[in-house]
Amino acid sequence: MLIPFLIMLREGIEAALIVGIVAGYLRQTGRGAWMPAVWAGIMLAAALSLFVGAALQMVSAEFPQKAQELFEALVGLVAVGVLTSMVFWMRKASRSIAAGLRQSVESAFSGGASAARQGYALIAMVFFAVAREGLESVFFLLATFQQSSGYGAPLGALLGLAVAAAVGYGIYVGGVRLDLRRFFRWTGIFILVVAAGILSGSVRALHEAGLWNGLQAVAFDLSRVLPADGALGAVFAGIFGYHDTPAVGEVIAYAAYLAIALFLFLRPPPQGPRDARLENA
Amino acid sequence: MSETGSARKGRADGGASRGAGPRPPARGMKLVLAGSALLLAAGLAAFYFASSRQAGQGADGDAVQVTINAGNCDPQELTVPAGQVSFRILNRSERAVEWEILDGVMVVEERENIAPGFTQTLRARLAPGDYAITCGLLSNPRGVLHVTPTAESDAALAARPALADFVGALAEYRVYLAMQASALEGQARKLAEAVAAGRLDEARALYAPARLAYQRMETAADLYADLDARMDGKADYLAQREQDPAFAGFHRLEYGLFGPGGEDGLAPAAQQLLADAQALRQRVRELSVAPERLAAGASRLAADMASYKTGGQEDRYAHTDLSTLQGNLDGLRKVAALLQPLARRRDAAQADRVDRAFGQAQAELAKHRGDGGPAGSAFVSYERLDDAARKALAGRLQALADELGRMYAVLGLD
Repeated sequence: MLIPFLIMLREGIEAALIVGIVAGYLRQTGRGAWMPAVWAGIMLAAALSLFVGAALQMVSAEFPQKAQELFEALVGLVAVGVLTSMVFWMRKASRSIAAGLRQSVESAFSGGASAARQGYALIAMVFFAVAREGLESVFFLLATFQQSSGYGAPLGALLGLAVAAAVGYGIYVGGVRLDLRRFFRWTGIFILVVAAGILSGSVRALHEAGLWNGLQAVAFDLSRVLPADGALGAVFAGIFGYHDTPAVGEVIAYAAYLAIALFLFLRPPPQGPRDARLENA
Repeated sequence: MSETGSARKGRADGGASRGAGPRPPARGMKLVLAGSALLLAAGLAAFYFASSRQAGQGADGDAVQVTINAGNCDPQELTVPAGQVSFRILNRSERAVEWEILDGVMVVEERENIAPGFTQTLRARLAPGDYAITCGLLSNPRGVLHVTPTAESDAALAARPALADFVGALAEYRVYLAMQASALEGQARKLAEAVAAGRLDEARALYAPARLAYQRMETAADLYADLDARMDGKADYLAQREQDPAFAGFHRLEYGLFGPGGEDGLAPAAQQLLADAQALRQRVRELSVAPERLAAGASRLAADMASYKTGGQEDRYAHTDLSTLQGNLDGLRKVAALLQPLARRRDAAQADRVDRAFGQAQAELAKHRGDGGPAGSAFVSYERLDDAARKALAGRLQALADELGRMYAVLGLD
């Protein structure tokens, strides 16, 4: 029961994270009215995953893992792009907030059509994030329902999903409770770490899809110290994209992205007057 | 969804930014929400129905059973026939594992997330050969999967053109090589005589024609790489560049005749080139050319023409790059013409596209024909081409390289 729980926790947490971040972001930027659309994105993605899983089972077809890895890789790369640009937009916005110019943040969003487009893009992000993990999860759930004699394994798997959803909700609530400036600062750093994990996961998925075969030497093997299917490992895997035996290429992608993104994010803004404004805030 | 409601309340006291953004249409949103909830319910029902069907029926009878234990696979070594193979992977270890079939570092097929006590099935279409299989933890020894050829896989191999189909083309290509080698020897002799007699202007006018003959053979240069390294080696790859004692061949003569090299050492270099040309002519007679090698050489040359050879560095002193490209193009066209009847039988459209790409590349090159070009070449100096003209040429050559690559794939030569 424990292992199915942890597998589903790991698969679920990554999707829940992105949903939680996007939801918190929408709320913090005054677009709470979009929340039903977020739910619709989640439900549609879940429905899609269920249908695909069920249909494959019906025709007793194989789960096309290579195609799925490719899908995961592409969605992962898009997610990295969206999350990164979101973070840097927030960085810019947080300066206006520090200056007490909340009005300007709001005006940035009330740009009519373009703001609406941004809203739709974020909801598409939610849809793909859930579908990305959902396909794999559904197939695993099918196996647990069919193969386990007791209720332990399916129950564990469902509990894992529930906890993952709770984590996503926690991210949302935590983000919403922070005041705007802190929200931007801390979630920015957090999102960059998450995005680095997604990027290195995409590198791995590309390898497993058979497309990228360079730098495949194992960088380090922690599978006995902190196994990815253990409790802590599963949580780390979900949140930071932790993997117990990463290839060199994955480590390079992770470290390089994080180094560059954090440097750009944390470097002081070009103008000086900001300090004076901070005191007013 | 009640969760959202409570969060909304919690936000009300702290949020100054509420409600500032554009709102999605409320009624449309409700419809979307209801629709997706309905779909989700239908998905759940389908899922329930699918999972309540008996598992493990169907093609499992002939599936290959693999058990993953804590420290190894059972069996550790498998032999299966080529083609579609089913595996039933049972995880008897305490950990969630993945099972992969690897060809080198490449993942051929895999299953992830096999929980302890669970079975997953995997179907793969395997070509004959030896593969590695992972067995649980990375530190566990890998298993071996032998895939033996079957009548069907042999038939698939045979569907590629047999070597016999290529025999005519290859024989004709050998004749072509022999003719060019013979022409090269003649040119190299005239060149050596002119240099030895100190008639350098005459030698300069003989340079491009000799080089043209050599470049026509370059598609096959892999087959006499030792001679090629000396006859067409660039100073860039030598330790002391132009001053290196090993600097020889066409580029050494070019350096002396057109570059800053001067007369010193020209005569021995011309003599060496002649000796190498003679050796090459002998070599070509008994050369055995495999169709794969020929296609690979042609592909590489085509790509090289579109990149390095249009960069102006190939004949940097004589500026006969266009003549060199013409020689390469002639050689490529010969190879393609020999293989095209075979390709046409399989994919006539592709053979046509190759023809067209050749025509376009040749037309682009022909724009720069001109009398009185450098070194007895039939083209203007490459220096007179601006960036746009060079790019246009490289573009045509790249298109040709792509089409050739596709034609070789049609022939099973990739």
